[in-house]
Amino acid sequence: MSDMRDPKHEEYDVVIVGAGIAGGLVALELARNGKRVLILEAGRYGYEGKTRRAEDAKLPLPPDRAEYMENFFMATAKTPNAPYPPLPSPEPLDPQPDPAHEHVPRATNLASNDSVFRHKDQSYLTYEYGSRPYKSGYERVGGGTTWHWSATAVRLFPNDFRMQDEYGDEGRFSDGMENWPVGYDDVLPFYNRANRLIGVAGSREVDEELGLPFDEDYPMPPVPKTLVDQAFEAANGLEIDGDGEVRVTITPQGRNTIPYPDPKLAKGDPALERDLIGVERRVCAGNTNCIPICPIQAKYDATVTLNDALDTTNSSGESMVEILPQSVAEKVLVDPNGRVEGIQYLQWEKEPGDAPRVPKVAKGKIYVLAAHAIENPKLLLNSASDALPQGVANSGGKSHDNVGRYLMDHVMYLTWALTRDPVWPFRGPVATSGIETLRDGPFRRHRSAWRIEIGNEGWQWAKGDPYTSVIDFVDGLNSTGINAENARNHRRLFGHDLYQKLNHDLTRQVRMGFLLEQDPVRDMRVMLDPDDRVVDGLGIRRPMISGYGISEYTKRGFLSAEAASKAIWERMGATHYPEEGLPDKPNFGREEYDRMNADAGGVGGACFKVQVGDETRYFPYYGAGHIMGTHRMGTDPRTSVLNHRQQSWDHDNLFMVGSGVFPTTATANPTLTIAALALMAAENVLHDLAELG
Amino acid sequence: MSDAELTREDLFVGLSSILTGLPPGELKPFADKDMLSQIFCDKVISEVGEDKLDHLLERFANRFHELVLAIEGQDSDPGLAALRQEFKKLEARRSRSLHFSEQVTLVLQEAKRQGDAAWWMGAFAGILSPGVNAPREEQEQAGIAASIIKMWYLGSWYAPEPKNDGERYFGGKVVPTPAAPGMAYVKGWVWRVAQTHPMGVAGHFGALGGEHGDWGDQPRASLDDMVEGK
Repeated sequence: MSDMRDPKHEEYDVVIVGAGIAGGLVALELARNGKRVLILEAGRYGYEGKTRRAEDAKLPLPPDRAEYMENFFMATAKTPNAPYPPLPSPEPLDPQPDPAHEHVPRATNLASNDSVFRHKDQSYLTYEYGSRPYKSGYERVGGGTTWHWSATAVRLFPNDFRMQDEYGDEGRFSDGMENWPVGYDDVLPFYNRANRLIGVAGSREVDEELGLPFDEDYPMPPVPKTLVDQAFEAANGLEIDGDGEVRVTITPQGRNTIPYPDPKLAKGDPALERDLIGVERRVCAGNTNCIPICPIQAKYDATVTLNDALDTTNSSGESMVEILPQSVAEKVLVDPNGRVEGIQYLQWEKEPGDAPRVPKVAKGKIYVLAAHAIENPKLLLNSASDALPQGVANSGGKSHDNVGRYLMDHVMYLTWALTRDPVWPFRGPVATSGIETLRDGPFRRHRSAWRIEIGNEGWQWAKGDPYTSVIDFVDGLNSTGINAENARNHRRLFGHDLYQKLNHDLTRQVRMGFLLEQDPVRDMRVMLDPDDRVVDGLGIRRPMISGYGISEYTKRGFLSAEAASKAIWERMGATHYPEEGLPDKPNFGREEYDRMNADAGGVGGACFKVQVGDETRYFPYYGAGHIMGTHRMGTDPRTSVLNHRQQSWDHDNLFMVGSGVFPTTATANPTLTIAALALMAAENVLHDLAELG
Repeated sequence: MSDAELTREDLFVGLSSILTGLPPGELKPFADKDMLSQIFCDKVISEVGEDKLDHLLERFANRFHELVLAIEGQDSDPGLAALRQEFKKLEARRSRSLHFSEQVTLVLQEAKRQGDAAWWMGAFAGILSPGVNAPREEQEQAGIAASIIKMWYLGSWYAPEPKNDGERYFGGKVVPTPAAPGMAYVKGWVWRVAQTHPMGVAGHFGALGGEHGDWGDQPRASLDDMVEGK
């Protein structure tokens, strides 16, 4: 372990587990208020900043963007996880690496495939019998999952915070629906700060028209719309089933439209200026690669915040924040009085490689878990002891048996089409506009709401294009649904015909992704795999998903999404694929449903059926990468892990941040709210540190 | 055309051009710093062996030779007559007989101009689609030809005879390029014919991408510009 560092100090004001956006923002806030912080990061952390401490040059295995880009180039399946270690199998048909031999395995997209997710030697997440696959993954590297986020920085609607009050009177929800213990007005000032610290480009006017109260402008002007976005505007004004009208609006995004950050934007206001310092980053060049990796960091990722945190020094020039990379939290240690007294962690040097088991303990006055919504509950459950037999924050204090419960995602209804005229996708950021006008309304009493993300990446997500089209045309096949006639006639395209056809179709490909609310269900949960031999490469027990599936409330949301999709394509004059009635590629139906379930070992793949009168409808579902719930906050400790301060009901000096605190999924991509709530939590931690003296 | 003067790589580029529709001067530029045609030719050999590639190239060379003979002969077919004119014009300009790559370029240009009327391209269609009753060797060669097209467009090698649909669609492997890893992906022609840049490499190809907001306008370069490397 010669290269592994120890913390410089015996005790810190605060120990944070996880160097992602939530942990990074908490660290930055604390450091700027003179507090000494240690961050334990399970994965690698490469300081990308400019000069600072000489010792950072000696960090073991410093990864950088160039290395991640090379992984991306060479990966056959350019999935969200493809650039990041430990690398998924570069060829999707090969078995995925065995998580038992990885020090920091995580849930990946490829491992959530129907034919893979039940194999414990390929999928880090294991599954209890009967659970359907959880389709979203994350990263375990410094900077966390913001490395591959889409940069969508939309905020919640006021009613997202109060679903039970607003729609609970006749609510046809599952058993876990609750209000948030904080409201829009509470979060508003923190949304403003999150906008500044992330660097969000958006239009206040547009968002105010949507019904979102604002009291501060976005720090950057909005991202210009793509031609794809403009094509969707043909659907503006379309009425959807009495629930609202379609209106395409520019999405607030955490990517630069001007060089940013720039302290001059504060116009001399010191309160604003402190959020606008840091290393200036470039404007977006439209690489169409936000997921899986922005090659030029025009898109915010949490290394921006972490490097700012590392750059925060006291009067003697000493950094207030330390990051210990490759240091995996194993247990939260609690003293007999119920206060957390340390985080036990294990370090590793090389992956793959042996990591001798030498537990160490990091100590602070207050502890913040920021390891995301699967790792946080895993850590708490793995911390079970004689005194706390069901784990920390979970064992018969005020809150009992709530850790890991109410696991949610924004499940996705994906739909794709060809426009009449070319719109030249595969340009610009991956998503720049959306439809937010149907995110709230009385319909939420009986079905989940959705927002629509408009994709600029053609049919990349939908069909694996541009690869699939090339293969279809050259081999005379029809996996895309476009090439039916040639496939029927066994006609293979070549020469000029081939590239003309490719040009014709690839310049017309568009898609929508509907992000649907999942209402909270108590029995959808993250547990520890009960077999204590199911461990990662460090010997730490692995998480198991139990009871996951699609509720009736969300299924009704899918039906509504499907109807809206058809209406929008029709209004645009676009041709929806796969078209019904194609001889060799039927629309998603019974056969596809049976095949997916068969791939999943007959237990249940990423699909569901729903009865509409006499008709049975079949749907696949996808994940949005929005892992939520699992240690939610609330007003009632019987159904929550944290109070409104994001503080454990049971352990006063333990806080948790990230989308695990969300009581409901709401209708917005979570990152901006994660950031705002992390800043709120930091304020609470500062308050408690002051009281501790 | 004298086959004796042609290297394996020359023929590989010629075959690749006819199959992909892309000019030989683009697949193997005069100052060829990337050497993709050589890397791709070596890749085919390493995957299927020299013999199989050479047989395919020989078959292509014979067909092309027959076409050139027909062009240079007395056939009164209007399509061939048009090609004959183009050949003569260029020969006059060059004051010499045409090189193989020039002949390929003219054949491709005329095929594009004549579209469906370019019946003589059928000779090459047979390489890719030999028909169900064709000999086993020709079937095999068709698979290799398809893999060559995919390699130029996608930068990945797909097995000529995939075991199943999964391998057919997801079994491609990015062709390693020692000097600059991932170059085969970046140079994939599918991006150009989609009038864009490779995902993750805005600004590549010069003509497109890399400027903030340019996605709000039509691409500056037309399809022809992109294919002809303008």
